[in-house]
Amino acid sequence: MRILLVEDNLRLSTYVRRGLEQEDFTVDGVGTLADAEAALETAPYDLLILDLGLPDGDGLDLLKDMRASDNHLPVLVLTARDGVDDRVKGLNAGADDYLLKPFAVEELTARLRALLRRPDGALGLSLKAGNLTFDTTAREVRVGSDLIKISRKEMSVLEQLMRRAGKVVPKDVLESKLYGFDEDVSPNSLEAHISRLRKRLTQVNASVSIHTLRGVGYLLSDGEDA
Amino acid sequence: MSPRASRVANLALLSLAVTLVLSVAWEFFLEYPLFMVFGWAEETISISTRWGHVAVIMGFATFAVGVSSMLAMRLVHELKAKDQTMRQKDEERLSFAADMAHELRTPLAVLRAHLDTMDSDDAAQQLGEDVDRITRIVEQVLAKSRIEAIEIAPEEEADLSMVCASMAAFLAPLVIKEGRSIEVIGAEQPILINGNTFSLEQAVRNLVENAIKYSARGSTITIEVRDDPSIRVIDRGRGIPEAERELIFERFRRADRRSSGSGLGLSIVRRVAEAHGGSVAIEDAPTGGAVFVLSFPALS
Repeated sequence: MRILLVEDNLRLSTYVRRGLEQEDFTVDGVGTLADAEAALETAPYDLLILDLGLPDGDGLDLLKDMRASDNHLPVLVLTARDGVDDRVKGLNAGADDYLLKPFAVEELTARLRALLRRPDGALGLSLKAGNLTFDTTAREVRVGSDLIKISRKEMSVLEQLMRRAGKVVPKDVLESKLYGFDEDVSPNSLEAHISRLRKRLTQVNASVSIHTLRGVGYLLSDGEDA
Repeated sequence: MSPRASRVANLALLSLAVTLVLSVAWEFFLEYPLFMVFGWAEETISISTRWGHVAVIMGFATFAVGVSSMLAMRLVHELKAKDQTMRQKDEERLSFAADMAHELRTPLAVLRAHLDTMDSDDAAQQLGEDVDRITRIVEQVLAKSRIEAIEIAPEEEADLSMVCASMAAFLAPLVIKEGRSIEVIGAEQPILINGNTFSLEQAVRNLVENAIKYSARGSTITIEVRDDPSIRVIDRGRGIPEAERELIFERFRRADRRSSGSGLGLSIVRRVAEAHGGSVAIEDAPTGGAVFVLSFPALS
């Protein structure tokens, strides 16, 4: 997985590169718009991490040029500007995601993986949380290396929760993924699936836990929390 | 013409019109009939002399109104200039806070990335938590200065249910990480008020962060939305003694000096309540713990 990192702060660039390399990404770092353009022309990248305030201009201009010339490379924007307007501007210019400084390297890698997993992204569809892995193509769930058996509905609940591991998945989103338009959904049916899934995950010693947050949704966290 | 200048001009014209009406009324409908009845001096009875009196009165009145209008206009100009300076100062303060936040974010990012890529040990993890805390303070300073300058337009609407549900979802990962749980009740239907969504979200965020700090691990933080309209943030901590309730909303006042907050959170909450023409109060929760009640005027 080859990534171009455009960041003019040398120390930040060094540590981010080190962090990403520990996660098996190959990272090229440049510090100016001109170098970024040159790098994009010479090497095939799977993703671009773009800082906005660069010495020779605004990163958004590079992004607009790329989109205008039909370059659909996934772009994650890094920025120290945190106004809502700035965020909207970034996304309007064609950014796929937006991360505010300072950020945890873990958060950055999670976002990169999410971008690379998109339909036209470079990564396969394998989800990971704690000691749990979910191969969404083969529809297989493993704890460590052991394959575990769960029902189709529970598997699709687990998939949604793992896609947003560590974040809230609202109840209505889960229900809409789980049931067709014509199906009758009893108010407690989702909760019943969740509770069976929770029991199953405990049985197989999965390190993740599923939290029910009334009025908010469900959250899958790795077992160290709570 | 500016609205203030046209108000001065209208007032001047109105005073002249009133003077004209009063002087005509006096000359022709009060003094003239009286003089006729008692047959006093011949010349004071003549109609043309009466018009002469009216003209003299109007002359004086025009002079007086002219002078006072000029003085008023000068005052208007001074007020306008002062207003502009104040506004400019507000903008400078806001952009100073934004610049400061911007400038601090990059070195914080360097620090955070460095710590994240060090061989993980306890010290690195603790320092990482300190960086998160400083980051939160930077955010709060910025939010505080934005909210200080906030003006809510009469047609601006905010949905309290949406604000609470989205902030609960946003804060849930933090709440879970801190070993607590969170729930939202009463947010099934939209509850609209005349308000600003960003500032309301900041208020709810600060109340929930406060609840995390002062409640026990394993407990649940409840956000309740009511259509009266109000938001309640309920924790299951040890509650807040009556004597401290007013003081804790002051800036940089912290219940526990050893705690890690910036001391800005609750002053942000109070400012948001005031900007909405509402109020914030503290009650005892029936289950033990504190209830922070944010009340707003109903949408007219």
